[in-house]
Amino acid sequence: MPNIVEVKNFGISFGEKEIIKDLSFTVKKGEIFGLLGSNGSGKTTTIRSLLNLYHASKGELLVDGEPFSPLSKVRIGYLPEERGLYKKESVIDTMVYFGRLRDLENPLEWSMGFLKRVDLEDHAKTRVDKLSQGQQQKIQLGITIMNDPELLILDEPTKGFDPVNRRLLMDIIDDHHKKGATIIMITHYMDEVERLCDRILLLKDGKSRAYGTVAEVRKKFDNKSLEQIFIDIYGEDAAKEGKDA
Amino acid sequence: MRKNKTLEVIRFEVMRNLKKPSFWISAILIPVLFVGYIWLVGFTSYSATEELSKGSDTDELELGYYDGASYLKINQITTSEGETKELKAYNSTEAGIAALKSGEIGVFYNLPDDLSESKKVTVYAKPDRVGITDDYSMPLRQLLSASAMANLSELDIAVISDTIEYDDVNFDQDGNEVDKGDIISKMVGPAIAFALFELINMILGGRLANAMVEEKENRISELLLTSIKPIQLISGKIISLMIVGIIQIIILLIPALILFFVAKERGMLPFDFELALDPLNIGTYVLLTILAYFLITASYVLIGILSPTAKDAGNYAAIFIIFSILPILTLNAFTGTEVSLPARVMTYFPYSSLIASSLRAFFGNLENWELIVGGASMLIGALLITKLATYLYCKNSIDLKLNFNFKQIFGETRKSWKK
Repeated sequence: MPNIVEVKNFGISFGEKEIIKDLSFTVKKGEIFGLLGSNGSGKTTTIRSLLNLYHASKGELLVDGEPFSPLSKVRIGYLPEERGLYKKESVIDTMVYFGRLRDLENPLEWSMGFLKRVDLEDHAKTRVDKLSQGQQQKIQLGITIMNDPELLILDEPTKGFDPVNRRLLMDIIDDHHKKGATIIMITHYMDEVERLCDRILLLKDGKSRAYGTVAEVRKKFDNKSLEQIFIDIYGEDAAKEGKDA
Repeated sequence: MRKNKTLEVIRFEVMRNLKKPSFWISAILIPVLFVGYIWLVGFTSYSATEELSKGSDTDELELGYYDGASYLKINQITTSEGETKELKAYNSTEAGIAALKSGEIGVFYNLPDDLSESKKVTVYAKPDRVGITDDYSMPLRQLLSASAMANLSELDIAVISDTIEYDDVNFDQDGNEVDKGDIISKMVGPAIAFALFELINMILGGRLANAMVEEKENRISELLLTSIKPIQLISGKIISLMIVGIIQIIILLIPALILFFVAKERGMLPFDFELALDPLNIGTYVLLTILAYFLITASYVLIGILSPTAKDAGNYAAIFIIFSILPILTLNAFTGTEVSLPARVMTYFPYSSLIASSLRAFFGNLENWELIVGGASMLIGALLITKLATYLYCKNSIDLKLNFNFKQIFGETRKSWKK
């Protein structure tokens, strides 16, 4: 299968501090790829660099063969770790705005359809800050997938999600995967990784510690569970931190 | 089909500003308060004058006088209603005072025998109510002036009453006659630029400074930056803020213009306002004002990007107010035929250029090429600030920390211009 993401000899420093050191990996079209690591290992920095939000100090980060730009042909859906919305705008105005920025043909129609799907149809004209946290999460998910992404990047997608929204997210991942979308997931939840991911990359201190299919990684670590491998690599504290997140 | 994303940002930002009740409250409240203030000041001052004049109104009173110095040549005055009124003459001071006390007359003027030496007249009055500002001397002043003029020629009178007309004819350095109306009409452009720019600073400064903070405070930047190029976002923001500001200024100017034309129609203006307007001059200064507005908006956006919160951003707005009034604070530097070095520097410095150019145009010492240099400095300044704001937004909006790398900023600028 062709690669949709190629990262070659990527390195990035903030001031004197080298965050990522010579990292290379690929993500194949149509797969679910897990990017794993403890806090501060460089996962989010790698994704932000891939999306050109950060500028790499060295190496190449390509999406569909070229550096990412909002003008790229490939449709990307990105759920960042730090999520926010225009608090004082109505739900529908916010969704339509992002829909227009993402070249949707009919953003109003799509947004109303999504709101109906997530039982928020009656809240279309409600101000975002009047919604509950869980309702806001649904809107954020809607904005992430509104352009029918070919590449869906989810940074800690279940962080802070209630069980209902977690289920909704899993359904969305499933739907898009079935349609052939590629999914990159940053997560601490090893059960999700084992259940969903085709291949994984484990990062520690900006370097790759394990990379391959889940089976390959497990084989490399004496067929231990992913959770045990995580503990072995990052230490018991980091794993505990990950579980609590 | 790809949409023009800068236009989408402009549409979204303009609409969400216009939907805010605070926009309309401030847009409508400021002119209403301004007109209300003018009306209140005018009304109270008119009422006070009316009230004060009631006590000393001599039109309704009988007037008398004793002319011990035999100075008065006439004994008739013209009232405020335009009617002729005769003053009653008495043979002595005592007779006049007695007539006043008996109610025969309301005011008595006593011109003593030694008037030419003392130059002092006593005004006796018996009003219904005595006030500290009462003044009944006006009819006598009229009589004294008329008596003095009775012995003078018409020319003497014109000279003394300063009614001689002075017609100026000026020649420029080449010996050509200069049309003063032309000079005045050329001041209209600078005056408009001056007024609009100060208005923008006063009214919009705070809002402009807060413009970019929301995206940062609400953590929307990452979502935006994966959907739209940073330069499109920042340009859209700047243009939308300018449009919203222009709408607010139009709302402010409409009642002002209506008042002006009503006052003009009713002849209430204190001077003749028939100006031959020079469209090129006005157009030039409107263009310069737009450039200055672009520069100041981009600068406020930059400040919003560098500030962690809306409150911090508002504090920096004062910087631009100081820049804009700097030429006014150093007004002496702009007068005179020899232009001082500080005046020249302020003319070319982007932030003070508009006001400095306007002042120099007022004082007639601005060359056309200097106007072009000032305009160019504002345009270049605004473009560089926009680029810097874009760079810093990318760096600062996600991590909320400042990261300067001038080589990268201007390297990217060069690349983006090449594209």
